[in-house]
Amino acid sequence: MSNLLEIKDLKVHYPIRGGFFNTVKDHVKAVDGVSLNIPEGTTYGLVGESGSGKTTTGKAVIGLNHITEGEILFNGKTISGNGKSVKNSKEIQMIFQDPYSSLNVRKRVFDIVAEPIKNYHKRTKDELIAEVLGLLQKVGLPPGSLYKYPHEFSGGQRQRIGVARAIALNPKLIIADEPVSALDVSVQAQVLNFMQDIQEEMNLTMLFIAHDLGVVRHMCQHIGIMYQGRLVEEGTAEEIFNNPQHLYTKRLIAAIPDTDVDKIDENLNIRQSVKEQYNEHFHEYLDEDGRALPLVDITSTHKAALPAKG
Amino acid sequence: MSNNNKENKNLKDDSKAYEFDEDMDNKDHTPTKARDGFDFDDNQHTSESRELDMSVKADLPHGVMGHGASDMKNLPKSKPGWRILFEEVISDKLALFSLIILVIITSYVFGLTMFLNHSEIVKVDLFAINQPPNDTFRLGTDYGGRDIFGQLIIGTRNSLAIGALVTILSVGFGIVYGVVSGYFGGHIDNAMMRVVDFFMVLPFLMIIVVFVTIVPSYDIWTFSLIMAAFLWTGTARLIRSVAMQERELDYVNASRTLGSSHIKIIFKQVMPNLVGLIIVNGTLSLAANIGIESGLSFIGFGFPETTPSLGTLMAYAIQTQTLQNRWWIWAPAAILILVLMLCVRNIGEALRRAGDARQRNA
Amino acid sequence: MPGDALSGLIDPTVPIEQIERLREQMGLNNPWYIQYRDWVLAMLQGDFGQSFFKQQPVLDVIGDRMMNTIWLGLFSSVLIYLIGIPLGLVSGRWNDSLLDSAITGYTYLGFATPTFIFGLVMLLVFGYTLGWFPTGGSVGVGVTPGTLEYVISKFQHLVLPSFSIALIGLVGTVQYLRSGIIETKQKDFVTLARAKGVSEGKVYTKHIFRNSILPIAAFFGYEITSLLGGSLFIETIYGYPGMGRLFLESISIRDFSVANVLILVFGMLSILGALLSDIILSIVDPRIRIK
Repeated sequence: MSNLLEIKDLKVHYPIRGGFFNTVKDHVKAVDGVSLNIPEGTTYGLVGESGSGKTTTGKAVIGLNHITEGEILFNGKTISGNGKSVKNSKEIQMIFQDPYSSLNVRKRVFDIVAEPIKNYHKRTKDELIAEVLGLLQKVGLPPGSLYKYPHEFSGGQRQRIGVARAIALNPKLIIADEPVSALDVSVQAQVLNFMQDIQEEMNLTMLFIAHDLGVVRHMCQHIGIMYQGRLVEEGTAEEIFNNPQHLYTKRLIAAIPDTDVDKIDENLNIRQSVKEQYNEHFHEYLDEDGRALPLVDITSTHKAALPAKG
Repeated sequence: MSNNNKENKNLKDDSKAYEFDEDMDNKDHTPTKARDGFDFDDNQHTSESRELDMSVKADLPHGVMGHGASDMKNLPKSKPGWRILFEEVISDKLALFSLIILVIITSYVFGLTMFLNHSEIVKVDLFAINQPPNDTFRLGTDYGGRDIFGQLIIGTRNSLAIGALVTILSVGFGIVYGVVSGYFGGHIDNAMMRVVDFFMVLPFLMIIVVFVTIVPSYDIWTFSLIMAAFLWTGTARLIRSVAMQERELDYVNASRTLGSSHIKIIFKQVMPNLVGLIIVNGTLSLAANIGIESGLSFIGFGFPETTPSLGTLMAYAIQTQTLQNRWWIWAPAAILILVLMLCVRNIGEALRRAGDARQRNA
Repeated sequence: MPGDALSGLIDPTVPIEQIERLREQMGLNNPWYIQYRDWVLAMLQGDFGQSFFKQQPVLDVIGDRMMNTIWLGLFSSVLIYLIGIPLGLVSGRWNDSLLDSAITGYTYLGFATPTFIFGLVMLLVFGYTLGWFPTGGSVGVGVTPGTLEYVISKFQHLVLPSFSIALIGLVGTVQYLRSGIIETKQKDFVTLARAKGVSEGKVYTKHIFRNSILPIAAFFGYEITSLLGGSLFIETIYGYPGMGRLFLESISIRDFSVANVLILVFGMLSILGALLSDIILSIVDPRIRIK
């Protein structure tokens, strides 16, 4: 399996301006040296707390953020130049976090889903309608939705509209930026499963951004954990869940709620001990500037930012 | 991996059951909305969409491909935003009343001026100066023996026309300027807003007066242009501030990733979201512009007497004699200005209220 | 109405050659940018030029008029706040009462009434029909400066123009204050104050009014700009010898050296006003303090 997307040492820095002359004083290092590969047809889960740079990474890949340094390869070709943002491509599409603000309230479903098709293809009105109806059917919305406005739908349905729009151009790579975090828990699973169906059907590759390891577990073959702009651990889903190396990963896993009532006490104990460990030892996992250490290979697929032993 | 997959399957089975429920829902014609407990709509709307959904599902089973053209046309449509806005104004009694009066005045004035002999009205007739209202001159005459009623009709037309023209020019330019500045932000916005600041501190009335004096030949177009050149800044600032908020919303980002150009995004995506604001701003500007034009004509730097406007009629009142003893020259114009301003403002305020209410509902 | 500084000033019997010579001498034949440069340079050296018409320095011509306009502006703004703030407070505190309806009705009409029409009506009613106040000028004829009589006369001449400006100008303040108070009323800190047992009167004086009046104070600077614009009309109507009327007179006789300086003065006052507002705002509102 070849890699569809390769990110090499990506850095996205923002200047902090201040003072009387509005000069650049410092930089916020939103993403600071991230490298990852996504094989074709698989899903890569990028996990981290808010502000860890996961969304910035995703937006850099699709061209919504500038790139300070590093290289992004798509299908073996470089799509980034230094200091610029990636150009839009119909091969890469995005599903946005907020199903409310990501759909234009003044546009009907038809206009929303047809927008990308109109941008890249010439179609007659009837062809467009047929195509959009096909897409709506694919995401499980009735044809009657065609001329409705977004405010007439629920959050889950809106996210389906967002998905229909993203797959309209038959992209190869989808960047899903916390697609379910704004939804009610009851519809999260529903939307996730349907996204998986579509992924299988269209052979999509996905960069799945989430702040919740539990969600990622069911979606992704590979997982990367981000902390303050850097990857701290990366591996297959199995490796991350069964053999977490980094303290931060351990804590994230411990935080996943378990529904098993009998294990409540046990889980609580685990959580507590991980927390103690975290408070005591976490500084060992950071360098002098408070940034995560470089990644070390553990197996051929598993890497973690561990302090040198000894 | 196996462990993971198993969990996956379980979850999927769960959702199969869920989807089955969904289908059941549809068969029972229960509304598809609010399945995830998110209440987003007002009742009127859902009941309407519910009915429409049912009708469609009756002849278009879920999941059938290749609908014919006739079916496509039968798909339910929702009311566009501007219609809701319009209906709100109609349901506001005062605004409706104002709208009717405004339409009557406008059509009367524009209709009648087609039959009035303009040069006859502004011709000086020394045998009929300063006459009070009588049979020949319904509203009397001025110091040059010119018919006030005719001047009033033509003057109202001119004032309305120039008010509208200035509004279209200034609001139109202000919108484009503001939306570009707000959408791009950063250095572009900074530079563009400094230009606005510059215009804001200019004493624009005085500069218009100077322009009117030094422009060799001025007519309704040059006058409007001069006025508009100083009156676009308010709109630009307002639109810019809203455009900046819109820009932060993800639908703009989405459009970019979908391959829409900046121009397309500005005019097709962002602009429709500003329509309500633009209509409100436009109506309120119209009222203000009618006032400014009549004010300028009043101090003698708008239209000349040969091109009557409501302001030129008011200008006669600067003479003590006219103000005290010949009310028929200036009072009708004053009342008309007031009525026009009130009507236009009423409509504008009703539109603003409608816009606010809709935002609260959404 | 084209023309330059000479056309309003010269006797038509003067031969053309002489006019041409004069134009050359005064630099009126130079291209506009040279004239502009000369003007700016002279301005920077404190030379505001000569009035073509009155043959005396521009500053002398403007001097008296400026004082009159400043008095008018000061008087009007005092009236605006003196009347506007109580109206706004009453209207906001007892909103939806009969009194509030009356005040709202007044602001509603005030927004739609151009200052010049209101000024004319005031002049007609209180100046001519009732004869309570003088109808023109800034001071009575034949009154000696420095006497009490002089001060009273000045004051009487100010009453009508400043009320005309203020009664229309205050509607914005009233409306802003009213909506501010109604909004603040529903804030949690007000509910808390009531829950603590603060008396209703104190809730308003200590909590609500203070919050609502501060922004009004900050608009004071911007108010200057609109006052100056209004003075153009009001000074014309009342024949009040201020800068606005001087400007229109100067334009009519093409005395551009005076008109230019007046525009400059008005522009400077607007900038000062905006600056003043920004400063007040940064004092009043800690959120926008410059670091």
